[in-house]
Amino acid sequence: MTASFRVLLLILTLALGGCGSAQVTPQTAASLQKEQTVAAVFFSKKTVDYDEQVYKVLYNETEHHESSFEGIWDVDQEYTDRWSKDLVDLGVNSQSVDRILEDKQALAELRKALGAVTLDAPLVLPESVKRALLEKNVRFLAGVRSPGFFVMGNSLNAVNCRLIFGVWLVVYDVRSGRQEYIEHLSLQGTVPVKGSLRELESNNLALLKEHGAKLFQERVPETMREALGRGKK
Amino acid sequence: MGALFEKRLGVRLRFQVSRLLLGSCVALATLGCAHRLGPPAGTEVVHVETGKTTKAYVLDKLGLPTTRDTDGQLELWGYADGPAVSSVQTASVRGPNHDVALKTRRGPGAQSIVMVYVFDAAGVLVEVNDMRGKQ
Repeated sequence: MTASFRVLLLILTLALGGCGSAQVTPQTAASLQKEQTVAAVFFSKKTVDYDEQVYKVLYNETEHHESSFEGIWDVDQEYTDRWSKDLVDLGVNSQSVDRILEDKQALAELRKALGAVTLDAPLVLPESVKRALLEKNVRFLAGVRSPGFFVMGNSLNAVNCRLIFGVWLVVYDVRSGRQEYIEHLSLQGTVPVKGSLRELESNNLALLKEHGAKLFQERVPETMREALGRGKK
Repeated sequence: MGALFEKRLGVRLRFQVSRLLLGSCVALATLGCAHRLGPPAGTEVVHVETGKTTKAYVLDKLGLPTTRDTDGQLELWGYADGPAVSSVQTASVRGPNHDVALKTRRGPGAQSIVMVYVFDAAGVLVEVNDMRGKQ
């Protein structure tokens, strides 16, 4: 076997591996239905990052604005409650993490650990958090982590903008301390605006909440369904 | 007679097309200048009163703050006067084949906070700091 053929084979294996949908093992899928699972969603940045390309005739300018909703909108709670319900609909024995974990310190540490999850860094829960979860008979953590909301616009297209937020979906076995599943999704969709991109913030963030929830609902539960080996709806 | 008419018509058409093009350029330039990332209302036109104005009012008029900090029981909302330029892209024509090259230059990127609104634990405004003279 020549070296170039082996490289080609490796590339093909990696490419095909990337195409296949990741799944949890059938044992884990069965355990998720029987044993206690906690749902947690964590946004590591409580901001909306706007980028708009502004046409200036002789050049293009990218303008950036950051809006913070920290302390104004409890995005983690809202998405965690929704995610927990989605999991229940999928037959997972799930509850919102804050309903189970009364220890605020452990809850903060869990969120911090979840915030550190990226594609190349598996979730690692501190021992104190694992202990607190095991004391409540929790076997799995079904976590979703997002770096925050990103909005892109173009001054030549004044009637809509693009809302984007990436999410990492993680299933972690608290008992074994092993990450059983991870999947990255880029959630994005068009949001109609009448003029300013910051209309997403009007009426208590109505457009951001509505379209963010829609994007989440369209992809995340479906991805989890596939991960549990149930195929597409 | 016919040739003269055609010539006149041609000149007229060219004039109208030029006018249309000029109009389009002006329209695009005006549209391009529009800022769509500033606050819903300028900080200078929003009337606030310490001891009375609430977070909900400021949120409604100015949108979300650019920065948010806490100091004990106090909450500090910082507002920038507009977006920051994060990059500028220019096009230039080069070489004998008139190739168009795009060049991207990074801008300063950071927004400057011009107003800080301080709220108490009940969400009522206790202080306003206008930073414009201090920068």
